[in-house]
Amino acid sequence: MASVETTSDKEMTFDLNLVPFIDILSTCICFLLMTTIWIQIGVFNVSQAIGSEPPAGGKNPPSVIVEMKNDGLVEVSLKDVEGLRKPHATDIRPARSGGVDWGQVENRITEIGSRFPTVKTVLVMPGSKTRYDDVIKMMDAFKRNKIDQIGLAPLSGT
Amino acid sequence: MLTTSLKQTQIASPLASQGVLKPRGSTARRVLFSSLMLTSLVDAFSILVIFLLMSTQNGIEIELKKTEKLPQATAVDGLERGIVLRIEGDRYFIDDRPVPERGLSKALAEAKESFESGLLNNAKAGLLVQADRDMDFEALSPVLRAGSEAGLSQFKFAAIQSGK
Repeated sequence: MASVETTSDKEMTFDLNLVPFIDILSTCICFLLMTTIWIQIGVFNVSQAIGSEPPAGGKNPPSVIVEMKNDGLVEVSLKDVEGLRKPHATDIRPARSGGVDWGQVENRITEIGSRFPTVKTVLVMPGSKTRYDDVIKMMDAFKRNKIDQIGLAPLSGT
Repeated sequence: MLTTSLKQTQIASPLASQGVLKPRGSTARRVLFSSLMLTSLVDAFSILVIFLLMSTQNGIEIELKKTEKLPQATAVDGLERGIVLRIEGDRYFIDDRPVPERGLSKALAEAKESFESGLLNNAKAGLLVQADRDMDFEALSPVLRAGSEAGLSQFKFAAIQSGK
């Protein structure tokens, strides 16, 4: 009974003073906006296998070998693919504006991915003057087409 | 007479004036002048703070130079800890320490050893390569060779995630 008598309407309905809370939140927002990272940087993973010996008598996995010439020419060849008796190679000429013809390269990679689904390995061999951006773009194109075991060959003699 | 802001708010509280049993507040005009409903503002601020905290929880970051432009790729993974090797022109830096091209292999082997000693479960160190996208491959080639000689098998190339 005592609690009923002492509790008035005035005590039951009250407002919290939210101004200091808003101050703290504003400070937090300013700090986080200034310190947050806006550019999303990721990593492109490549597993190198140079130096490790293949198992004796083991069969090589079906693979694609991509040779990138300095002038933008790209040679794509298939190796150890079942059903292909002869080595299968395609030359992709440079684009008219210079550099790699990415449209043709994408088409070729998509074709390989759909015709030879067992191919999961690719070895990219860039030229000395090939742009780093083109190398990453090439590996990215393969990865998008589920050919994700990518190797990058260093130049001979470096 | 000293009146607190809390007391003033209580007197002209919109919540109190809406009470069913005994509404308070003399006139509607006074209520309009005296206080604002700040709850929604606090809600919005809280959501902003949570969003910003979530977007900054990835603790791994790499330092980019103003002139440095990373390549773009779609199939990228999140940043992981590793040995950071930066290429600037024909100069190489391992964890911000300049290393000559001839000493790359040795420096990477040492960095690998010290990095892996701090890892649990025999985890392998990866090499994170940070380079400008306009660089020629001939600058990257010694890194690949030296990394293989040092026993590194995981190469990670820093790239900016692009839409397509």
